[in-house]
Amino acid sequence: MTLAIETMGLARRFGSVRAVDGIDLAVPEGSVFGFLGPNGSGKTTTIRMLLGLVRPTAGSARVLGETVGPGAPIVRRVGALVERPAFYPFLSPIENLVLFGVTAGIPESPLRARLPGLIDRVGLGEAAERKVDGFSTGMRQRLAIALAILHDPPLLILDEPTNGLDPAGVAEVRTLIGSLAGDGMTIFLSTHVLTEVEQVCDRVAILDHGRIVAQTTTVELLGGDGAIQLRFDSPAEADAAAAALDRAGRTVRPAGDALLTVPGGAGEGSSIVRTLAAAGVYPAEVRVDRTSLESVFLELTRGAGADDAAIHPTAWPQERVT
Amino acid sequence: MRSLLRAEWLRQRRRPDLWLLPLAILAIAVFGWQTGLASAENSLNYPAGEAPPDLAQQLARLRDPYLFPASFDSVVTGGFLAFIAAIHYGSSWTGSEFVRGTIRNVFLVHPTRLPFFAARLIALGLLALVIVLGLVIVAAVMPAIRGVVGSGEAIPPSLAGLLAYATAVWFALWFLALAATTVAALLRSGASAVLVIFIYVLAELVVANAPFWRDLGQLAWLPQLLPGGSVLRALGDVAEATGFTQASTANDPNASPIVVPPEIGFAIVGAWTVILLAVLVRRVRSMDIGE
Repeated sequence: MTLAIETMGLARRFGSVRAVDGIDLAVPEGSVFGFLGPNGSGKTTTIRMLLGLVRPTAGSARVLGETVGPGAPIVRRVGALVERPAFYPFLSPIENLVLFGVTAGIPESPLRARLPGLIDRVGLGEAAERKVDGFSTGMRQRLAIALAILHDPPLLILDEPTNGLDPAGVAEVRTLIGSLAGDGMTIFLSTHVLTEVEQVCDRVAILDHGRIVAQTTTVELLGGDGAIQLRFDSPAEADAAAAALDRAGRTVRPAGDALLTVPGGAGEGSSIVRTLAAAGVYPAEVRVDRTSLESVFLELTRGAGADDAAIHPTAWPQERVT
Repeated sequence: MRSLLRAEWLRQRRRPDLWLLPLAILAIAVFGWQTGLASAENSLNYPAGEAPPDLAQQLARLRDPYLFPASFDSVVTGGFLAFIAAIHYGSSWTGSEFVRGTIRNVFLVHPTRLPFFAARLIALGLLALVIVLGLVIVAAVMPAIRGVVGSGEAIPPSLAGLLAYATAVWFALWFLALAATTVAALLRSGASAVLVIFIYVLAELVVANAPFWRDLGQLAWLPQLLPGGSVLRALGDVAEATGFTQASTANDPNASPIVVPPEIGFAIVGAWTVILLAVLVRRVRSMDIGE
């Protein structure tokens, strides 16, 4: 599997503070990768190192197959939105985009021709000629997204892209991310809006105190600790089902009258139903109790000190992609 | 580089200071030339009316420095704001990139950092050139508009001399802009850069004019190594060599007993230019962009 982003022991210290503490990230090409972590966990510093804005104190990072650092030319092929978008306040969105596009070496005429469409796509059509000076945080965020995708990059790194957006804006950005991913773009999404990750990301890494405490697929992260609830028409049927599942080697927990709980992920539901059907017992209702990302996130990052955090990787999935 | 220069134009053309400061510089230069001429004409304190021939000739001699191309020196002196403007442009243009955080966007879309600053220094050089050309035009136009008549006795500076002096003024402006750019890049702020440069200029004035240098004997020339003084001295040397000004240090009680020759002075300025460029390059290459 080709990796769009790969870090090896990437670390950054600020004085005595270890902002990023030797992380190994593996972001496959074409994936939508969620990068989660509480405030101050090192997400933005990691992103700045991936973009060559900040030098690592140890380790290295490769982006689109090339090593990054200050001045690395490969960064030109990456679209990026880093927190607190900055623009020239005395210029309009179009003028800002033309300026940065020309700086990037994009020919000006074709650039100007496609800008109205791009501005519309991020929902700034009506403000296209206004000066950025009067823009709200959300409008700046939209403009930053437009800048990030200005040159159709194969990799998009987004740091809190929905910051300051209203609910409609959040939904629009989510749709935009989905459509960009559909175009084959690799998206590295740093956020602490967990629903965003649940809905759009196929892989996730959770960072806490500068260390990665989980890195796997979203399905595995959410389903690994789930359970399947089976409701039957009568307690007798429930007893028969429990016996059948026990014979099949499954752990079964009674959860009330005619109700059983079987630990397992969403993918195991059909296998359980087949086992029951073979025994001639049919549940009235099968429900998958998925672990929410929020509960996983809180479990992994709850008040953990740096030493505690180091324990977590063994408790939660850490899939190494090569 | 062409695209970076184009971007620089797109970036700066909407800044009010790009247009207002040069206009103010030219206005003050006109005012400086005008008041200089009026002051020269009034220095004989002759009442209104036709002056006797010898006095008229004396008055005409006083007007000679205000005829083109000699007038360029009085225009440059009057347009001193240009030197302050050069510091402003250098510090403000670069400092604001850090204060606003736009330097991050620039380095994301154009990760190789040095060409951006090279384009910035070229743009500052072009702006300085426009200002100097404006001063030359003022120097040429004002005597014609006022119909100033000289004595016809003085040998005016040649056009080649004007070119050399104008080039020296241009370089001095660019040097100050380079210094301000470097300080702004070091401090990540235009306002801080202006403050630091202001304090430095005061400090250099105090240090360079301190009496103890005279007691150092053969080392009395040491303060002439300082950057601010060396640039001004080089500018004065060019003005003198091209016939725009006369040597005046002979009567200056504060003048150093050992004056470095102009060639050495130019070399000192060249060395400071290289040092400033080296500091800027090192800073730009290695700096973290936390903005």
